[in-house]
Amino acid sequence: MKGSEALRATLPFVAGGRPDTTHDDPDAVAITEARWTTLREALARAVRRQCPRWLSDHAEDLVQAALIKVMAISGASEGNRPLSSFYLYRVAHSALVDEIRRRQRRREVALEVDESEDRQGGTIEPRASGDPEQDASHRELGVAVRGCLMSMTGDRRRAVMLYLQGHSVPDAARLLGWSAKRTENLVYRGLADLRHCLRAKGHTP
Amino acid sequence: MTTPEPHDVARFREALARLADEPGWPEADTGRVFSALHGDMRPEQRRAVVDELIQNPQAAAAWRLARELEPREPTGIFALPWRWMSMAAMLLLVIGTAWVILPQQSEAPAFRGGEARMIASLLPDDVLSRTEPVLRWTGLEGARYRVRVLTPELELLDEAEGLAAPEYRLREDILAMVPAGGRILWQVEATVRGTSAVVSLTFNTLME
Repeated sequence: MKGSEALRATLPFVAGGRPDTTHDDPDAVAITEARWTTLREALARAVRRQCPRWLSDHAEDLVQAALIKVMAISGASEGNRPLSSFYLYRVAHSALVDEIRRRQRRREVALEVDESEDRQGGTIEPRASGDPEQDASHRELGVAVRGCLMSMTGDRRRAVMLYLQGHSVPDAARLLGWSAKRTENLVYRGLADLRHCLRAKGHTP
Repeated sequence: MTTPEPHDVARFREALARLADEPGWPEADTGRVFSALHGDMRPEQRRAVVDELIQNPQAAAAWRLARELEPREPTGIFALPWRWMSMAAMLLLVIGTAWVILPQQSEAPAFRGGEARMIASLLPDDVLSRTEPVLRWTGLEGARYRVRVLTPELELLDEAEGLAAPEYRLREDILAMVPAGGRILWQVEATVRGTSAVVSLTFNTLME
């Protein structure tokens, strides 16, 4: 996982809570402002490290959206919630996903991920879906694949699902807490189950 | 898999992904999905999230997005402070461990000048009860405390500062992140106005 080290790094101290500039003590105001500046910088780093290039022109807006999320959550927890770097990455991610979905809805296009492209070049930029017939065919097959997965035994189902999500066997093994050998067996047998189930539903793999 | 991917897998993958375009699926919890993929979630919790991906194609789409938006490593000189912080934390642990072990092996010092200003854990047997999850330490007069709680992998779990009392209660959501029998590392920094800060050893505590 490329970014795991960055996520594990501990954050320079950032306190939660709304900025309170109504305070009479100028020192307290300065400390509060300094903390929020630190928080904003940390969020900007988190956004920069996740933001696809095609959205990078809007990075400032995304930082602002993430900051608002943190303020809302801090307000709900009465300002006492300590913020870890992982938490801030999570909030930044949420702001990014909201923006991507908003664009997806607005342009009425499907979100496609082309793994052959470099992310810096914008792999997750929304693009138009295929023709209606092909869409219908995919939809039908998708419903059948999902139905078959749901009918599989637990561990095979999970191994195949991660494989279909694009994870390699070693990566799926790490995520699921199993050995690579076991995961490979589960994927292999799970795919066989899936093909068998699809054939029974009238789909030719 | 070491063998080439079967030709039909790409079709299954695309067909499954397209389901998320259909209306009517519940909104996915993107934060939970992000934590499952990039956080330190336990495998059994992660498996539950994977089950959700099958149940809810929106969650599967959120997973793919979280995978695609995986945070990049900081590069160049900006990466150095993070690495130095990790190394410093590790060094601190080593020194802390040596500090605890070595005095037992050496003779007592011939004399001791001035008041010893050090912070010690007051947890019995270095075990923390889940029913009373309060970290306690020896206090210094007039001090304010900052406490940091980390996983054994040195990931920050919790942090608080400006504490007037030499104790800190762990919140339930933090406790939930530590399995029974797991360990936490914690460290206290005491600041007394007009004097230098006193930093404790890193305490290694067993969670009940």
